[in-house]
Amino acid sequence: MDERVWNDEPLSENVPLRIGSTLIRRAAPPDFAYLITGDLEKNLHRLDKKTKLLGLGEDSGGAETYSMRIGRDNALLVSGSTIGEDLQKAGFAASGASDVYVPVEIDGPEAVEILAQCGLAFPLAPSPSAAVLFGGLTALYVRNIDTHVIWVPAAYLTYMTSFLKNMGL
Amino acid sequence: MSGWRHNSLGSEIDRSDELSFTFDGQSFTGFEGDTVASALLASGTKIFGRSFKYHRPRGLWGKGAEEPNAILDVKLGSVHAPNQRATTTFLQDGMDVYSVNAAPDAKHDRFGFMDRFHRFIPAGFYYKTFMALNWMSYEPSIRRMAGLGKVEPAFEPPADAAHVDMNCDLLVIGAGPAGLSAAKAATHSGRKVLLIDDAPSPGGSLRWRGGEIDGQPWLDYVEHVCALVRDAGGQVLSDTTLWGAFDHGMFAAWERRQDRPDRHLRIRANDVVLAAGAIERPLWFANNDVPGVMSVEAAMYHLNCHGAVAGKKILIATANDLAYPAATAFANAGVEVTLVDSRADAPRTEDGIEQIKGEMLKSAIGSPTVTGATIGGRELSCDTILCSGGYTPSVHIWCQAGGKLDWDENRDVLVPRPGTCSLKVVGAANGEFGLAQSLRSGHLSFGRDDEAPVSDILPPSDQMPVRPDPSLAGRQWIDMQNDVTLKDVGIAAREGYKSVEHLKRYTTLGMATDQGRTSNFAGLAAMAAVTGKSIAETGTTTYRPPFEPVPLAVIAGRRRGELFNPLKRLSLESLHQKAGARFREYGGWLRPSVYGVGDEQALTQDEARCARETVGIFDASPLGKLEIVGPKAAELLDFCGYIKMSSLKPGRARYGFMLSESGIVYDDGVVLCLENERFIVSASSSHVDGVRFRLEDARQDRFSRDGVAIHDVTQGLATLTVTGPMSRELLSASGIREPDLAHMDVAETEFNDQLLRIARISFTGDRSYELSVPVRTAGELHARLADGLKKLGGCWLGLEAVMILRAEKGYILVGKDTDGNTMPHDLGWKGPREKRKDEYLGKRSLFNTEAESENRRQLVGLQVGDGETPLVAGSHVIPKNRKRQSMGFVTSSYFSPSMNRPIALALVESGLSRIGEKLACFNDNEVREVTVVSPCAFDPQGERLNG
Repeated sequence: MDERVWNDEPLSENVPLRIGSTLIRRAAPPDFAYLITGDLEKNLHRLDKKTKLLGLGEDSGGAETYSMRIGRDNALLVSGSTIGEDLQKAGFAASGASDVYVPVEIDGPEAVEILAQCGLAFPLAPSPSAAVLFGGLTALYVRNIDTHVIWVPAAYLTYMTSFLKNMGL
Repeated sequence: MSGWRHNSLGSEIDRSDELSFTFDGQSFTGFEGDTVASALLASGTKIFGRSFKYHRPRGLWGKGAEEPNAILDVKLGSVHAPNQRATTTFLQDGMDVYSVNAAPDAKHDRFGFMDRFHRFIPAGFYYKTFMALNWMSYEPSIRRMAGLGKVEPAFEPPADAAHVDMNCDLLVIGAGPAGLSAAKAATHSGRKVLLIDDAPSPGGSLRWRGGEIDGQPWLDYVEHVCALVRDAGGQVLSDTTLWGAFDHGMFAAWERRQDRPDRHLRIRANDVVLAAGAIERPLWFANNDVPGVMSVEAAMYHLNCHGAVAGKKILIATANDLAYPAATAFANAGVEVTLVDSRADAPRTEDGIEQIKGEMLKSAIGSPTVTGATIGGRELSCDTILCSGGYTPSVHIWCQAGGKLDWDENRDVLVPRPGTCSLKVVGAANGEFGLAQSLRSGHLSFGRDDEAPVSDILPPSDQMPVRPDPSLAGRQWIDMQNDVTLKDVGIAAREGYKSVEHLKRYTTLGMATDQGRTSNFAGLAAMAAVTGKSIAETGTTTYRPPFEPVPLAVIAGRRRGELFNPLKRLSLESLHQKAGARFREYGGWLRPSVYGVGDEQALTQDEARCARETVGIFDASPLGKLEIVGPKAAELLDFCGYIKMSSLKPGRARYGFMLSESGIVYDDGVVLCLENERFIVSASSSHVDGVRFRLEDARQDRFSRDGVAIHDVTQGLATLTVTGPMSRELLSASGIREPDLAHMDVAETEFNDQLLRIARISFTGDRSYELSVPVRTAGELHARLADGLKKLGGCWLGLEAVMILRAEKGYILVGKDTDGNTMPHDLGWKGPREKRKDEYLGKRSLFNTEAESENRRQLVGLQVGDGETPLVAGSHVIPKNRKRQSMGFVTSSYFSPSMNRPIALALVESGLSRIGEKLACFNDNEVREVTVVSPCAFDPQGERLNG
């Protein structure tokens, strides 16, 4: 009575996906991540002056703490330590969201073509929001220096893995 | 058999790589680089197919997407592509090619007799005849004869075409002389160019017409320009058809790639240059559809690119200079050529070519293929007639992008009207014919006049306009694929269909797979002549995408099958699989429906029984976890909910509803109060996004930016629900410390140094614990609980068993036990409607006439007699002894293992006042007696909640 056999699996942290010479890795989840809502431009600096607010495809520069803007006043903030109380003091409503998204790193010469086949249009038009329709899903796209990082909603990781795996470049 | 292969011409074929294929069962060979058309032409094949209506034999006309006749079914291994144009299908070894609309084949079509009845079936025949008869009686025959190729039902094209979004600075459509020249000038002015062309290599007409540009051979010029474009950061894409211009400046293109999946490009450009060239017009004379009548331009293309020579004795009929190089090329190839030019002052042909000036071609002679032609009252012998009636600019993309057209009397063409569209149109697409003009036109789009490239080919002199001539005897074909003749245009005009749009629909002119490329101009010119109007007054039909047929598989892309509607997947899916789960979609999530091997219904019954007797666990991770945070959180929940939540104390939970603005139950669920300004809305699995949208809508509409926030953390937490009389023991056996919780209490504690939220919420009526942990620790929680289950003898519960447990208690599933009319008071929740004074979403609608009606359908239980089978969900509830009229329907129906009898929930008119009444259920001609009972069939006192 099964409607079909479901044998696709999510990307494993240990086994990256290789497309041509490009590696697609499931990165370790952040130690702490928060969905935050508040006046991002004004209050993010109250948290830490160095905290970057990243828009579409912008570079975190390897920083441990940074935030990816989703909407006008909400973002996903990634941190190496627990800062929930600091966020509240800085005027943000915050919810623990360390496992809500899974970071997927794409690194290699075919990366731009892979991203283009998922819906990103290069050269990127600047957008203050990192949220983008990616492979049919709303995901977040930023860079970490030369590595492209897609933050995939956790429950869709299996779908995204299948989408990427069967890509014909 | 007049076509042949030249032994040295053919710049685009590889003679060392011979390919075998079949056409209508007959074996042929060709070369790598051949199209199916060129290979068949070189083999001497003249009849490529049959026309749509009269089944007349038809031969090759063109060289590209304009081909109206050579439409073929192509099979290669397991791949089947119906209705491919022979001119755009490149030959591959092992291809089996079949003509369409012919039985058994194009040469021996048994429906060829249809042509004898052509007098009786002109345009409009269908509309007048079939409305008078019984359609059903002849529909099967019509259906069998309709259409062209056949789709192979077993063949499913692979879902591998990638959709790629591209941004570019300058998009140049067409890499012919004008496009190349524009690209070069643009590159010099610092632009990044995306140059695309539908041919396998750039060059456009240079590929078969040749020539020198700026003193260098054309091929060197093409390579030079392409290198310039690439060096400047641009791209050159060959084999790429730009097939549509859409709103907001988006262009769609189909890129064909060898040994790799095709790509569907969605391009947005800062600027666009259209250099799509022009399409050669036919000439109109009697029998102009006989196989062996071809376009001059196409014949020259097949000759120079593939070495395929259309005939041995060729007559070229024209009224313009651009056909003259073709005459020379064929003469040089060893063909006996006669050129007939309608112009009395036509230029001279080269030596060795017979020329007739000032004469018109009146008719083609021959059946089934050309054997001669009538010119000026005399017959000339020939095996092929090449025609050139001038050129029609290819303005489809211009018009799709919103551009208008003007009629240019001098050039005898419709040209883009400046200022009506942002595209720049250059070259032949702008009515600027000839190599020199095209190069200059392209260059001027970005460069200075004195730097325009020059060519060695002289510009053409004026052409003589050519039109269909109603005075000629015999049938003149206007649309060859759809069998529309000049006479049909006249009939349409007489019937009053004088607008070109009406002409198109009445006669089907221009509606075939070639999109009227060779017929539209003739159609409007003929209509203009018949109605005595100018072409400008007659107008054109509407140009719509696609510019040429694009496989649906390319447009559909990769998101088919399992990728079409992506399902959310549980973080614990692999562990459920190991436990024997069988999965099914529930509300957008793939969830275990049942565990184990064997009959699903029996397994479901066992699971439900086990949960009632001992303990069961089910994965409730998909339940929404919308965090509502901030000083106005309670106010937002009060406004968006039917039940007030502002009175909820921290550590407590409350069941509630969310209504739509029309007062209809949109979702139900539990709201947990964690702190004074922090709540969790546990929306039902399939409504998480919808509930969040409604909350967000209210938040943005009614609250300040920093008053309240909504965070969806559903996917970051895994929830396992432990339910049953031994649920507390299971927690204990699993090493999970249970805070002292009453029913509807909630507490946050830790598990493996991570958050563990425990809520005493029950969807089964038994004592239950919802345990939520971050996904990263869900595996450990699962392992602990699985160990506990082993010790206590409980089981994992699939969703089917959970459905039984909740239905026993009369707990609803919104969308299943409610419909688009159900309001909360229909479910027995009258309190807030009667008592709440404040505003809340949907309130106003709860008091309209419909909401106050006494006959509203209300949720009740239905009981059948002992030993009977469960009712069928969806069955109509009807009066027992009165006229059969639906009073409602069964929403949920199961066999309850705990009560050993069927249970059912239903929405019934005035149901709550009918408790105890006998009614009937009707389904599939079966009527069964039922008794209306309370929705709650099991443990009505709720004693097991604390059991």
